[in-house]
Amino acid sequence: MDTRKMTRREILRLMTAGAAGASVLATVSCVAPVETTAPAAEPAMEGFDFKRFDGESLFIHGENHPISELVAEVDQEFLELTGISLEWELAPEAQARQKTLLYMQGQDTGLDVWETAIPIEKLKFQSEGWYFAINDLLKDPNLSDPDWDSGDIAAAGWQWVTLDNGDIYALPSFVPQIIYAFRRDLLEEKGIEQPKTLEEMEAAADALHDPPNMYGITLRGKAAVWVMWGAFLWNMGGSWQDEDGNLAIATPEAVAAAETYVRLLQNYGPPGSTGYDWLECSSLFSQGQAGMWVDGSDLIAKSENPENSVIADKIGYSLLPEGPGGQFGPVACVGWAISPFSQKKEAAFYFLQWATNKSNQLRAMISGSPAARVSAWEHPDFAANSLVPQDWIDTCVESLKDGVAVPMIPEIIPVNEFGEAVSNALTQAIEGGDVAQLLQNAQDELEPVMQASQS
Amino acid sequence: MQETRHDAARATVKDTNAWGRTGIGDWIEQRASLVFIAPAVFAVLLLIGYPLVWNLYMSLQKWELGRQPPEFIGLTNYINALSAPRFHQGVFKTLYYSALATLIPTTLGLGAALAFNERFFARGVLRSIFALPMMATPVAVALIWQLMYHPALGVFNYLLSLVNLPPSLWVASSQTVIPSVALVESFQATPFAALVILGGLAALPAGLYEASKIDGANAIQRFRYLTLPLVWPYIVVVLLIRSVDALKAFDSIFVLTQGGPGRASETINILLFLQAFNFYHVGYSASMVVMLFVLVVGAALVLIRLRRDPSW
Repeated sequence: MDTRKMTRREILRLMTAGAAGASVLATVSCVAPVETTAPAAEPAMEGFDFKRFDGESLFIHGENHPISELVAEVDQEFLELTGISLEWELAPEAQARQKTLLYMQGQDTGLDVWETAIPIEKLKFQSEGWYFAINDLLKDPNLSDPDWDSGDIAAAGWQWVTLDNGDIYALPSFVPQIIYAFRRDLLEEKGIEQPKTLEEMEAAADALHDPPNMYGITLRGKAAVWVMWGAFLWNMGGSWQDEDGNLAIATPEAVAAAETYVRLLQNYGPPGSTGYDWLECSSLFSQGQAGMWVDGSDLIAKSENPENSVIADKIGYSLLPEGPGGQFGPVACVGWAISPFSQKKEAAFYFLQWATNKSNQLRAMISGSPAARVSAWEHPDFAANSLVPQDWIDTCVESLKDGVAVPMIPEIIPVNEFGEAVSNALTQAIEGGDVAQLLQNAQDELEPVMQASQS
Repeated sequence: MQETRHDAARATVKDTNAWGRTGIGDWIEQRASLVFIAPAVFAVLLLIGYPLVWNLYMSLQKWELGRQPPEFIGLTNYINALSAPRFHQGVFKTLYYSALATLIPTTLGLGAALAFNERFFARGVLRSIFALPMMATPVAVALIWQLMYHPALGVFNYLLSLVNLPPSLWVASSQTVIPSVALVESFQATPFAALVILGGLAALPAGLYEASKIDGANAIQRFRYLTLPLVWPYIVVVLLIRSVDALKAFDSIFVLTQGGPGRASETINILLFLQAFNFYHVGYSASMVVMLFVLVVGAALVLIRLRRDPSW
């Protein structure tokens, strides 16, 4: 009997077969493996009763993110539709996640729904029993809106919100990916072709680099540097973990990825890159002072807003250029989940469906937040109203395709410790430390943490 | 009839007195001081005592944030922390940061107090303007300084370029991050130091200065042998409050660096926050809280002792 475990890449390949992109690219034939698609509810005998929980109120905890802010702005629609009023608590990402922990630890019955940062929370919350499975609610014709259309959610989205035991614990709302943005106009001026490989990317950064007015590239060097480095890791042929689940952050591929990342910043990045998070990168890029940027698709999309950016309509997009290991699109997912301690789970399920319905997902798409629904990507209103150009869309869609999508964040319980240790290593490397040694130190530091989390 | 009413009234008063002497009124009267401080004692026990004891209890447990019940492990958390190089570095960074964030505002505050103690045009207005940073929210101040520290777009490097000085990386470099963060704290704390010392200066007897001038003491001698010893108790108060504040500083460091670049500004407070809320090790984190508490109390005791030292 073959006991070899599937690699994460294989799992991702399976799960993203024909994801959002498949539909947009008219290759719908390979959509969604059966086990990752939510069961469709039987049609209700009579019209769906939206007012079943009329007069209820729900407490929603989420992140200060366009995808949740957009929904919060139109919550009056939910009240009119269902009679359920919503009380919101939106906080910056880090604070929101910490507060979620406190709600769960305190088994707070006041919290009904929260916005789950799936790659960060999935395994920890699963192990603690902090997710509430909604499979039965999805199947219940009296609770599941027949127009909600589960088949329209990208397979990648379903995969992220499904546990190994088949429990579905959230409805996906947001599927961001890491992409590469470059100043199309400047490359054209200099007669440089769009970089197709990491070597060409480095050469283009060199050509564009003209400090202090223009830096060849801007990349994160602060806390979340490890997530962006992950994109280089995959393209270099590495991965977060080996086939046995051991950490693989000090392999030759990982070191090569880090060396490329560090070299780009040291040679062509702005001074003080170790103080750059996405906001600093965004400011520099939007002010026309950086030639390239690798970051989250939704964050890069902000540079297309002419109110905040002098380079709107001058940006080209692609996946991070190809490396020795290929070209991949790191993908993550955010969703709405029902608290297991909520006393109003069925009403909360109404909210989950409404927050991820077609119109709200379309709103998200138009604002530049990659939605989990295929129909939102395809909608003519998106193309007509969005600030993002076609190659941004094509790039995001490409990242969701079979064989391209890879996990943006490793699926391990101590993911925060992992990120902190790897970021520390990378930041020190950017400041001039020995890349290989620093990654090895991080690996050595994390191995006992991994063992403790598995015991 | 009239007499009867009078007797009855007297009897009532007598009864009341009897009740008062032996009852709750007398009890309250005898222990008035206890009764008056009881609400404060209750509040302190509830808000300070209970968390302190609970934290001590947590620090003796293997306690991961989650449903797993805590497990008593004695002093293991303390031993683990004391043997971890990261904790040692955290202590060193905490002390380094605290020294800067105490001495810079105290020194600047002393200078400002001496300046504002002199009479000059618009002194009152300038004093008010000088006190403004003290009233701003630390997080808001840190966010604004973060923009000003931006290595490429920030105003500080622009100002340095105006005087032909090379740009600094400020909070983006491991070498300069702690002084840079301490500078933000100093910006907010200097007015406080100045106000306290100014109060001390205002209380100094003018006759002593006149006598010293007659004796031929110059300005430096007057400062060294008169002003400094006389305002020393006020300076110690500033040092005491500042050092305690600096040792427990969190907000401005977290906003500006989150302990970075890497772990270059990871003070104990940042480390224990990470351990508790990002890594879920609340028991381990609680042991660090206890050790930080000991450090803060120790620093306070040293300074209080210094204040009593009559040698100045």
